[in-house]
This record gives sequence, structure tokens and C-alpha cells, in this order.
Amino acid sequence: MYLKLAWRNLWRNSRRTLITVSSIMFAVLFALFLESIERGSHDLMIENMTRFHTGYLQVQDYRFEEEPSLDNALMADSSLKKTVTETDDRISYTIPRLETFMLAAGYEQTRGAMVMGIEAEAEQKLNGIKDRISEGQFFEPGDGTAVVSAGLASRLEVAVGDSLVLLGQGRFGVSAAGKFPISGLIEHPLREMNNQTVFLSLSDAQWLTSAEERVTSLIVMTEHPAAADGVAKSLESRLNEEYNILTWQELIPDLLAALEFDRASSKIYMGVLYVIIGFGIFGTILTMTLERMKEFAILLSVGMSRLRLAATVYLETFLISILGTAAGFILGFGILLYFRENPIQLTGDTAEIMIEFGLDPILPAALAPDIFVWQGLVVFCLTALICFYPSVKIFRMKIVESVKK
Amino acid sequence: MLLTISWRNIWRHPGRSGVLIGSIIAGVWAGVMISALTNGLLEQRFNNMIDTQLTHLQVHHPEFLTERESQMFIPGAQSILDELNRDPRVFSATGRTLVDGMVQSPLTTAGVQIRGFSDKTERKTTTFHENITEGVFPGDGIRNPILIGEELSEKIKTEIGNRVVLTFQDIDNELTSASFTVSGTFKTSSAPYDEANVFVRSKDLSGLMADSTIYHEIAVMLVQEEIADSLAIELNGSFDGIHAETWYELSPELRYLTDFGSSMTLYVMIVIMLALAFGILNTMLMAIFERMKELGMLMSVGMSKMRVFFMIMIEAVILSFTGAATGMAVAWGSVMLLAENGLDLSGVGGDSLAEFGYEAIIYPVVTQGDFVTTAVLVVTTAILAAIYPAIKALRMNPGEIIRQ
Repeated sequence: MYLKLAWRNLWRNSRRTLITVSSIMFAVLFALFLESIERGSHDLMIENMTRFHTGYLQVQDYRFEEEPSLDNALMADSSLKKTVTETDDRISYTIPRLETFMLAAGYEQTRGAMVMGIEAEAEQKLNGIKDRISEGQFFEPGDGTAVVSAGLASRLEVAVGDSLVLLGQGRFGVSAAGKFPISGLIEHPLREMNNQTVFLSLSDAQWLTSAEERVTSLIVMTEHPAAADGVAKSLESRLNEEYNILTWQELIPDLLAALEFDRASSKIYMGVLYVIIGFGIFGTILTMTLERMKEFAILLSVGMSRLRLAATVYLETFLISILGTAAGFILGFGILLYFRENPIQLTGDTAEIMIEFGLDPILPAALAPDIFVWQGLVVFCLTALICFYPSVKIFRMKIVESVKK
Repeated sequence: MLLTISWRNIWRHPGRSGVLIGSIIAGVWAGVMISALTNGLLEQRFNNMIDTQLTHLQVHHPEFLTERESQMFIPGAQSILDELNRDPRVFSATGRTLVDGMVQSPLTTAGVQIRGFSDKTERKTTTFHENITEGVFPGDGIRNPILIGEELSEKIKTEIGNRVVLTFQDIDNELTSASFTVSGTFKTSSAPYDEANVFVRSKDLSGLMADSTIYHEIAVMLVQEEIADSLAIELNGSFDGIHAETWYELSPELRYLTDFGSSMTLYVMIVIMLALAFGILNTMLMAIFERMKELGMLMSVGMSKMRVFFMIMIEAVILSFTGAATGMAVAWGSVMLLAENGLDLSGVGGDSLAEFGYEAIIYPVVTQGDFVTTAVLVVTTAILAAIYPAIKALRMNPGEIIRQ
């Protein structure tokens, strides 16, 4: 009965209802959109930064963090890879790396260099390293050639086709020396990397350092950075204590600090947004109430109890909130889907530097169910609270004065 | 005449007008606050990264950053420092003596970067001294004081008061060793950094490396970050054998982080401003549609449609200007209030920031431009929001409306 009355009241003045519904719809929409681009940019930042350095997760020998030497390299034969990959469904692929410091020599010059034994195909998936080749080409696995970062090459005064001599220490003090023709040069946007890196294929690096089948770290990539913590836990329980599992948070604490700052500031933005949409909704509901005072007064004077009237009006506004939230969800889903598939293109300085880093200058929207749940809930509660206003007004109003107006 | 009618209309319904003015006040307030907080946030984040060590501009020997050799110190560093200190655009400048070497405790040895700081000017230029967790640096009366990271002090098992030996190459590539006394420990956000860097006095270090004071790096904080680029060009032009670079050439990663953060914030602002506009639009629409009957009455007693339209517009203008002015005053008050104590992010999950050496209190920064932009935006929205229903009112049939 109340419901029927409320429903009829809604459509007696459909324009008024539609305006209120639309104000709630827009509130839901903006809350969804803001949360979505905040989340999207957050994920993108993690993804981009980890791609350059460390990946989402790394498996290392438990001694390696304390003492990063080849002696503490990890046995990474196919069985370990298989174990790791099968531990969790969320793992998409693994990347083995063997890193060590050596002397690199050209004809005249000698410099310290970071030698990285990599599987080029796997790295390509992670950070598109093959596309950074500025001269020559990338090595094939085990072909005994090296790719040198451009900064290092110019310091060593070597070019594609020249030979590079690497000299250092392998596992357990074995001397490591080898001559590698340079197959390509690579331009890296990070100065540190560009000035001191030599890439070898993993098998060549393992041979050079007498570290057969060993890696210094096994990078584990998940579909999504958010899954990293969970995967780390399942890896920890699956692998024994000889293995150390590190997440990107532990590997790049600086990035985490910057992200925490972003997260805290985005909460402030959400707060301000709630104030604004709260006022927007309050404005429409308040206007509606004021305009209907006469109607309320007449209903009361013909004998409707205040409680009944308040209940009916609350039910009305409650129905409006449901309609508004639902409409916001439908429209929001469409818009978020659109912006996920067609991300906002960044322009200007930001785009420039992102391209320089080899990144797409885009800002994608995140589309996750919990965004809808949370933002929907917040706006709905906000509205449900605001909807008490007409009821309060009904209890307080003076019938005679309102009828006379 | 129309003005009088509009004015009276507004005060005939103080409730309705109050809501409209209220929503415009809220709009202007929120707009100004969000701009002020955004500016504050961006400044804060930037400062968090720049202030600790990087600074706006650095000068090196052209080869130093790639080769890191002792003899690649800055030629005529003192004259560059003097020149910088005379420059009104420079907030402060400091020289640093840098060398790679080994630190040796009775127990063990570790490779480190030895950073020689000029204490007084470094304190003025960066906030690194805030990372000191125990002890003092440089400390009075201690000969050859050294500040080491907590990580390193654990690794090489030394405590404050212990002696360590530093070994490094002097400018003639001869190995030199000297004993230093641990006077304090520090901790930054990055454990690997804490393990790989030690701090000594620049004059102690350069005394051991050369006969005179030498600097490998000059770090410069500017009064305004924007001129970093032009100052770098100027310095490179007027001094030989040096290379001046801005922070974003030195750390492209930081530039990526800040630039991306700023564009992100721009989109956040757009969303919030749109939400604001829609809120006002809806309230305005509601208010005018509720008055249709009254407007129909006016028309049926002979008021022309144009006059009705202008009456509505004048009302909207009066309401939005009143609201905007009040909103600006309220916003100004809030900004002033916040400026005193700042907004503490710790309450919303920023408490972990302190761990990283981040300052979590944001101070709003507001310019006249922010006030003007917001007010113009809000007033325009409010007036535009009135046009649509006013046109609707023009098209209606007075007779029908009154009968409804």
C-alpha cells in the first residue's frame, strides 16, 4: 500500500523524479569514474616501474639478499620453473636472470660493467627490450654474442661487429673470461643502465661464470600486480626455506613510497567528491521538499498521520535512490568499459617522457567489481541519509501556515 | 523594473534561494579547496623527492657521472659557488666531494660511496640531516667524523664512537687510507642506499684526496624550480669544463613520476568540476521547473516571454554572484585555517609515509588564478543551468500550465 502510493507519487510528477534520479545517477557515475582512473593509474604506475627493474616477484636463494654473489645463485633447472609455475594459477610466466659485475674491455678501454644473462624472449614480454636496439640486432640464445648498452659502448669505444672481452669471477672463485662479438647496441632510458650494462644470452652467461643452470633471480610475473602478494604467500608455502620470495614492494621501496602518497591523496579527492555530490543530491531533494510543503500540509490536514506521510515520502526518495544508483551503474559500466578499451591519451610533457621510456602514453580506466560495490554503497548510503531530510521536515512542519502559503 | 521583480522573487522564497546559493557556495568552496590541496600535494610530493638530496640543479665535471673518477672534480668550483651564491634566483648551493671506496671495520670490509658534505650549506640546501637517527653529524671536536647508514652499521658491526678506515683513490690515482670516527647513523627510505653510502665532511675528504678543497658535485636549490633549465644553459655557457643538469635530466624516473602524477591530478580535477557542475545544474533545473505554474501565471496576466526569460536570468545572475562571493570568502577562510596547521594525511592511510621519510602534512597553496577560475566556472555553470529551463518556460502554453 505505502509502496504503491510512493510509486504513484513518483510518476505523478515525473520531471521532478527524473531530475532527482539523474542527480544520483551522476553522483554514482562520477564516483565510479574517479575511483576507476585512480585505480587504473595506480596499476599502470606499478606495472611500468616494475617492468624496468624487478618484475612483480622474484625468487632468489635465501642467502642472496644478504650476500649478492654468484656463489649464492639459485639452481633454476626446468623442475624449479615447473614447480613455480604450477604453484598458482595467477602466475603467467617466469623470467630467469643471471646478474654479476665484471670488467668489460674493448681494444683500448676497460670499464666495470653489469653483465646480465637473460632470456631475450621472456624479457621482451616483460619490457620490450628487443625494441630498444639502436644498432645491429639482438642475439639468438647461445650464439656467443653480446648486446651492449649504448653508453657503455661509447665509453669502451666499440661498435657492432667489434669484440668485447669480459673478465671477472665465476662461481666459487673460478676465473671467468670470454670474448664476445657485439651483435647489437641498446639505448636504455635509465642512465645507470645505459652506462654499464652488457646483455648476454642466459646460457652464455652461465657458461662464462661456471654457473650452469643457475640464475641470481627468477622473476615471476602475475596477470595483475595486485595478485603479487597472494602469489608470494603460496610460493612461500610451496617452496622450502632455501628460497627467498621478494615482492616488488620489497624490491623497490622508493616506488612504494611514491604510491602510498598517491593513495593517501586520492582519498582526499574522493572525500571532496563526496562532499560535492552530497550537496548536489541534497540540493535537489531539499528543493523538492520545499516545493511539496503545501501538498504535505493538505495531506496532513485531511487526516493522514505524520508517521505515515513521512514513511511514504521516505519510501519515495528511497526508490529514487535505487533507481539513481542502478542507472549510475548501467551508465558507469558503459563509460568505464569505453575508457578501458579506449584509454585517455596523455599529451604534452608526460606523454613525451613516457614515450622516451618506451611506454604507451595512456591512462586506462580500471574495471573491477569492487569499485562498483564500494562506490555504489557510499553514494547509496549518502543518499539514504539525505532522504531523511523530508521526513524530518514533515514532523516539524506547521500545518496551518503551510496550507495558507 | 525587471530587476525589482527578480529581487523580490528571490526573497519571496528564501528557502529555495537559500538552497541555490548554498549549492553555489559549496561549489566555489570545493573548487578552491581542491585546487589549493592539489597544488599543495604536487609541491609536497616534488619536494619530498627533490629536497632530500637531488636538488633542482647539479653541476659536475662532464665525464664524472659516467666515469666516477677522483680526478674528475669541478675545475674552479669555488668561483662557480661564489657566482651561484650571488645569484638572486638561487636559494642555496652546496659543494660535495664524492669518491668510491671501501669502508673497513675491525671485523669486515664493504664497498661504499663516500660522500663529502659541506655541512652548513648542505643543511640549507637539502633535508638530508633529517634522516639522522642517532648521534650527530658532523659533531663538535670529533676528528674525521663519519655518518653511516643503519644497514651498513649492522653489516660491518660498528657503533657510534667506533673507528673505521676508509680507503679510496686520490686525484693522482694513489690509494689513500684514513681513519674516521662514527659520529652518527642515518636511515632513508631505501635500504640499499643506506648500505652503500657513507657521509663525511667535505674538507676532511678533499684534504686527503688533494691539497686543496675539491668538489665533484655542486647541488643547487633555486627559489623557483621553473628556471632550472635556463640557469643550466647559462652555467654551461659561462664556465668551461663543467656540465650543469636539471633534476629531470639527472633523474628521468622522477620526472616520469611527477609528470604522470600531475596529469593524473588534472583528470581528477576535471571529474570533480564536472560533478560540481551537474550538482548545480540539477538544483537549478529543479527550482525552475517547480516554478512553472507561477511563470505561467505571469505570462497569462500579460508579461512578455522575453521579459520572463530575462527575469529568470537576472535571478540566476544575482544568486550565483551572491553565492560565488560568499563561497570565495568561506574558501579563503578555510585555506587560511588549513595553512596554519596543514592537512595531515596520516589520518587517511598516510602514516606509512613517515617510514619512507615522506612529509605527510599538506599545506594548501592557492593562487588568485584558482579563485578566479573556480568562480568563473561555477557562475557560468549556474547561469547556463538556468538557460535551459528558462527556454523551456518560453515554449510553454500558459493556459495548460496553470490548469495542471
